[in-house]
Amino acid sequence: MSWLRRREVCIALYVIPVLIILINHFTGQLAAAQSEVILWASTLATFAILLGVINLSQHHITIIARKSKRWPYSIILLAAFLSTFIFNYAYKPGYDFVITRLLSSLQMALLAYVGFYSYTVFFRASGTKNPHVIVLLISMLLGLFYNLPMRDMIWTGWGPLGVWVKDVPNTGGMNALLIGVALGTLTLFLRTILGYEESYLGG
Amino acid sequence: MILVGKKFELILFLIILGLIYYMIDRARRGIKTPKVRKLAALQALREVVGQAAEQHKPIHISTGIGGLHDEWAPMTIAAMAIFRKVAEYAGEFGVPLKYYCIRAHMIPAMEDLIQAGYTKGGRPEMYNSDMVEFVGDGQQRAYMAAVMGYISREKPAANIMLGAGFYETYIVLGSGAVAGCLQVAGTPRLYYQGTVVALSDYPVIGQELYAAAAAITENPPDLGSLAGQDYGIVICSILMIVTALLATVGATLWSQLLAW
Repeated sequence: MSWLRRREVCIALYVIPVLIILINHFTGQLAAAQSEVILWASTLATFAILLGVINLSQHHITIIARKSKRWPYSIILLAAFLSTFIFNYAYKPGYDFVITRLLSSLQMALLAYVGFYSYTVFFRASGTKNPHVIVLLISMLLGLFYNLPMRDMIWTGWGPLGVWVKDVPNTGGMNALLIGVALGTLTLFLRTILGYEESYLGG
Repeated sequence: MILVGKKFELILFLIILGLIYYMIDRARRGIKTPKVRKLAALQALREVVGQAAEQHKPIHISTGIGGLHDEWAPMTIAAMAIFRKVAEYAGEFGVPLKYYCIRAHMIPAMEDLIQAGYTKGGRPEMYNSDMVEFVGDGQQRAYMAAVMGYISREKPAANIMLGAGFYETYIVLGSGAVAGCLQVAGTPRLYYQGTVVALSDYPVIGQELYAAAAAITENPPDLGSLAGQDYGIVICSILMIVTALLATVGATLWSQLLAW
């Protein structure tokens, strides 16, 4: 079975689905094959979760066995993981409790961090020496004033100026970036099918 | 055979693909290897790993929430090409790496990539399986909590985030900035360009990630592909100017081509 690990086989496994999706995009003739390929990808991803479960369990069991730093947290993690897994199959009300009462609250708390960090981006940016940041700060300020409820009380020009920034430099810049990204993706695709790009195969 | 409205797109696609291939082939045959301008982030990688070695601290690497199974795969592949080099430097300088894995299928690929990097760098014994830790498949909040906790506790010397970043970008780079990490970050995702520029010491903007992935190997075919990409940009720019002029004079040629 060593032929399965051959580089050519791995590249073919990448190239064939890509070509099916690409041909279907232009011709619409391979819709069934495309759906099948996407379904296979989902199925494979589901099986790959087993790898994750093994990695997670091994990692935390080792921490507990060695009594490494913060080992009690690994017990909590494994207990939470196992109880959620068991509740999902054996006791639905318990599973619903875990999701709605415990997980949702914790997730909302984490989202608050995202808010905090996105607000502090502005302050961090003001301390950076990167010249690109000046453009970012000016556009952020314009965006900020544009969204102020009382902007017209300060200056009536904030509205039209904000709309112009949003529609002209912002759209232009975003489109330019998008073209670059699309061409980069295309180049990477070609390098991959020609076998020059192998990082996705691991070492 | 070809769908209505797709013919012009297909022609453009094939022209650009052909051009990139031509440039790769020219570079491969040694006819002309293009010179690539120095990307600050790429040049800094070795220095970043060296500083981590001096401080006896680890480096945190992240590919964001994107995996190899979705439309973000090209970004993840480009990031992996760069992390392959980072792992090699880490092996050379003896620096531990930490990667939190949000996609289960990425575990074997990243384990293999890091292990190969340490081997190539001359310290295969440094690699251990704890360097790649799974936190839940697609569980963005679990990932954010794990990374934030790790960076706050361990205070790694550097935080390198490349790939398809979503709003975990704020957390990964935000907590890195609070912990005083040297940060290298980049994503071609449009909405996070400002965050990346503001929070990282060495930002990789837009398609620079793809350019960096090609340039890091310094192989002539990879460099040739960058030249092909640049010619693609020239074609797109010419098209934009021509269509702007056509639209100004009221010609409908462009819309007819798009509807072809």
